[in-house]
Amino acid sequence: MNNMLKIAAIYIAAVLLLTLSANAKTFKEKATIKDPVLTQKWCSISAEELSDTYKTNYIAKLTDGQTKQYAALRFLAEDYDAIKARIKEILVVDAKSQKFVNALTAHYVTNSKAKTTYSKFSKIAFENEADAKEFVQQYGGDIRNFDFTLYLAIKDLELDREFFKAKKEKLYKKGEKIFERLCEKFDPNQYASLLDLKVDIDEKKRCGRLSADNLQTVSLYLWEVKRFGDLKQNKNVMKVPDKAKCPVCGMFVSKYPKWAAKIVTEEHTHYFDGVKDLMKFYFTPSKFGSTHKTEEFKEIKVTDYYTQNEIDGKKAFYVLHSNVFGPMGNELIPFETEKDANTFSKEHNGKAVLKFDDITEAKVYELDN
Amino acid sequence: MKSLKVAFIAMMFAVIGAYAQEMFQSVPEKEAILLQSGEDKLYCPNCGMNLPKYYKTSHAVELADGTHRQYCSIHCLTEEMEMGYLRDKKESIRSIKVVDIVTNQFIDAKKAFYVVGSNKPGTMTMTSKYAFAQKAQAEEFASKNGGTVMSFDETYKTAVNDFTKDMGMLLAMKSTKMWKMGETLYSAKCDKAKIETFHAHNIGTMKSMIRDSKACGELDDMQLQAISLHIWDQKLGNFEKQYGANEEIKANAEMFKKKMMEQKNHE
Repeated sequence: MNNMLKIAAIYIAAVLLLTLSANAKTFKEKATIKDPVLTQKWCSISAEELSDTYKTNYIAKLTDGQTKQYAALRFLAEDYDAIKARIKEILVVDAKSQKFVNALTAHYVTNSKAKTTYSKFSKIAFENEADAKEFVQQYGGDIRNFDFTLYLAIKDLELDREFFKAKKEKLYKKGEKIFERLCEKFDPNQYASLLDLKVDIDEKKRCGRLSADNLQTVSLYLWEVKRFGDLKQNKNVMKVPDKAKCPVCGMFVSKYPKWAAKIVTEEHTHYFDGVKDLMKFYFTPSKFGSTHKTEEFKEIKVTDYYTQNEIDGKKAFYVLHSNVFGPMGNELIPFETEKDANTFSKEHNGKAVLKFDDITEAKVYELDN
Repeated sequence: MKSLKVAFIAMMFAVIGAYAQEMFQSVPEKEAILLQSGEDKLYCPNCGMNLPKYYKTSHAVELADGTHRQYCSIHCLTEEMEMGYLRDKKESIRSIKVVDIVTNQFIDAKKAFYVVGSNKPGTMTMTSKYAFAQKAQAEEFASKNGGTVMSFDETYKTAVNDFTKDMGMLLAMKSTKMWKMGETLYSAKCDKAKIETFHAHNIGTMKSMIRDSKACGELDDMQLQAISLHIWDQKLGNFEKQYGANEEIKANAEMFKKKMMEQKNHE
């Protein structure tokens, strides 16, 4: 009798386990259509393969002509503060038809049991509400609008970073090994973004022939670890406090050392993740909740694009409308010497080289259009 | 625009005058039905507020194991459901309940009639939401106090859509009043070493621990709430962890602060 009970208990436990595991349903993110729309191969923020998670892809078309494509809402959320002032259109893949549709009018299934690669809690878009409802029938979850879903994604950034932290630590170690063994020595600080860095390693074969995974791993290591280590070697680099946020866009400046700029007043220092935001603040501080007057801004420091040195912003030369984009898009790119500015401008299709005093507010805002 | 102003003034009364006895939401502690058990049963697990004081907007969920989580408002219910404690536990929710403001009894929220957007103050929101068991009573309330009669699902959706706006308003209130008050009280009255040994899963539990240990001496509920908010949101960094990345909430908060200043100057 006792044995019978035991067997029954084990049987019930097994059935329970099976039902529980069947509950976490698999939703395949890979495209099953013939011609997925890929404006680029890799995600603008994570540099991950876009086609791997095609059904959760986003495209942002910006007023300055840039187009960005993201592997998932999480990466759009990560980039949101940088692009929000320049959004012309946001598109999302309708998980049903696998076509890009207007993201603002799509219906999103949040908190369902469908698992996706980049977020603990998936957020899956549908053009038609009926399709979203059908999905909820199968996977559970709630149907929400774009604004709330984006809100959730921004809120989940911290959670998702924690969730992937252990995995990332492992990747960094592996990336370091790949770099030491296979790559030529080069400066990871010369790139404007992780994506630019990855593209350059791939095109120039800086690490020889790498598998797709290894290419991503070594790029991540260089961008997220080595870049900051190298920077510390340079004593002339601008010191940015970890918590300093740009008063114009709200982003952490220390993440973008190549673009760091600052205004020092008698009371405090304002840090910016690019000269464009610094100039917006410089001309009209009141627009960003500051009571300063432009006349008070005597000391301005910017980062030389080539040397990474902190230089005097009022004596620098700036290249505008080049094909090199900063975290905030089109930039005024600073150089200590006029010669360097001209060289850069020629190489990167710059449209103008300006001295500080020749910069006007109109020319700054023109960069966004 | 005018209705927004009315709602805003009502909200100011609700938060700043929160601890005056004449609040529309309040019932005496003896008359409030508390569905949670334990030392922290008096408080909302999501925000720490005193449940009898916000009794008429109180909601609760009953979980599969028979225990309850009771909230001060549908705002806190929404927050736990959409992005908090209940986010991955929806299947274990047996029922959602709300207080019928006529009988002060809990009823099935899915069968309730809500009046949304009346001129009576809301809890944690600019758009007040009160529930009734009887449709006729909801309609009568709406004809007297304004607002629209809605189902639970529609009301819940309103709460979800208002979320960022309401969070901005709450941040404005916290940063101009409650956090400052909490910080002053904390540095003047609290046994800091003792408080550092407290481990709590939510602010309601933290609040009851501060109360029962007398780590900050004798306090009234407003002082206790202010200290709890200061410790939970600021010292433990929970606010920054939850909302630090959200610029929209901060922008909304700045907008509300401006309005508060204008209102003050106007008086």
